Amino acid sequence: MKQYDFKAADYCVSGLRGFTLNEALRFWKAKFETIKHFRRDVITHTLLEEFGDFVSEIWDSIDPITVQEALAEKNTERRRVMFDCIGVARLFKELEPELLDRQVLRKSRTRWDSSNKLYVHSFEDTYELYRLDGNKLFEPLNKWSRANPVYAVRCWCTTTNREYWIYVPETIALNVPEWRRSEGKPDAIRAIAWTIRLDIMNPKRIFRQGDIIVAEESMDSYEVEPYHLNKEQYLNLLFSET
Amino acid sequence: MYTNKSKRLVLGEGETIGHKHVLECSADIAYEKTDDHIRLMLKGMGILTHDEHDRIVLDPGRYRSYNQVEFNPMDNTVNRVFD
Repeated sequence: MKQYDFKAADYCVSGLRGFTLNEALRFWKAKFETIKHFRRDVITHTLLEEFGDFVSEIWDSIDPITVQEALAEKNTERRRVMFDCIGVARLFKELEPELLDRQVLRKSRTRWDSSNKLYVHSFEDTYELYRLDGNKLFEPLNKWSRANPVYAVRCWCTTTNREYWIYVPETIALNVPEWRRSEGKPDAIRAIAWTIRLDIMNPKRIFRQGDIIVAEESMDSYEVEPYHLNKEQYLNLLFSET
Repeated sequence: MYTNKSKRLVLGEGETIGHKHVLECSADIAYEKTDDHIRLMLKGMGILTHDEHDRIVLDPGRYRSYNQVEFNPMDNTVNRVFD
């Protein structure tokens, strides 16, 4: 019987391909409570039995990925998979993120069918702004120092329903400088608006497809230094989002 | 102003998944790429597609394409979101 080289294969975890064997094992160890759960959900075909046996043998020696590793991951899609594997319940238990603001927007956006015919799609979009304790994420420089808090918007892709955490600066999250942190006025929409950065004034309208932002120029548009959208611009200029 | 022409232009590509945001137009798309954006002009209707997202139809006109950005709390920089 042919022996597969498991190390040479490419692995798919939580709908994302391209992981090495070691990465996939560590992700699965975080995701599944026991090897039984792993086998039930991953070994779904007799052709995978040999791989299931291989994982069963080493299961106890696999180190699951940590929350800190997930938060340090720069690639948002990989970060999404890591959070998915760790699970929101464990993420919240370990990090105890403080929910600062939650807003649900009722949006009506233009979409097109397969014949390029325009229609209006109405949906609810939820944004949550969190503060994370920097000391749980970073090693302090010394025993007297404390790491600054980290702010992140938790949002869901309106097409795939995947959950994303996107980091934003404190001044945007709270709308006050660092030394007036206690007077901050957190706003999840202001935070997500900040993630769109343009370099033209007076755009006619904005289209968003995933992480790609397309701004249509108007007759009055002109080039400026890059700037981030404010809440009002975000609410008024987004014409289509998918 | 626009140094390149093509009927098919990739506005973004997932580094992990490999899915592309592809803009296609029956007429040539005039475009210019910089580090921060892609400037483009459509003379016909443009259709932006992606494997996991609904299409977007763009009327003729001038556009700029950008990546969403996020803050990096490790080094306090602003970087494009990449997937």
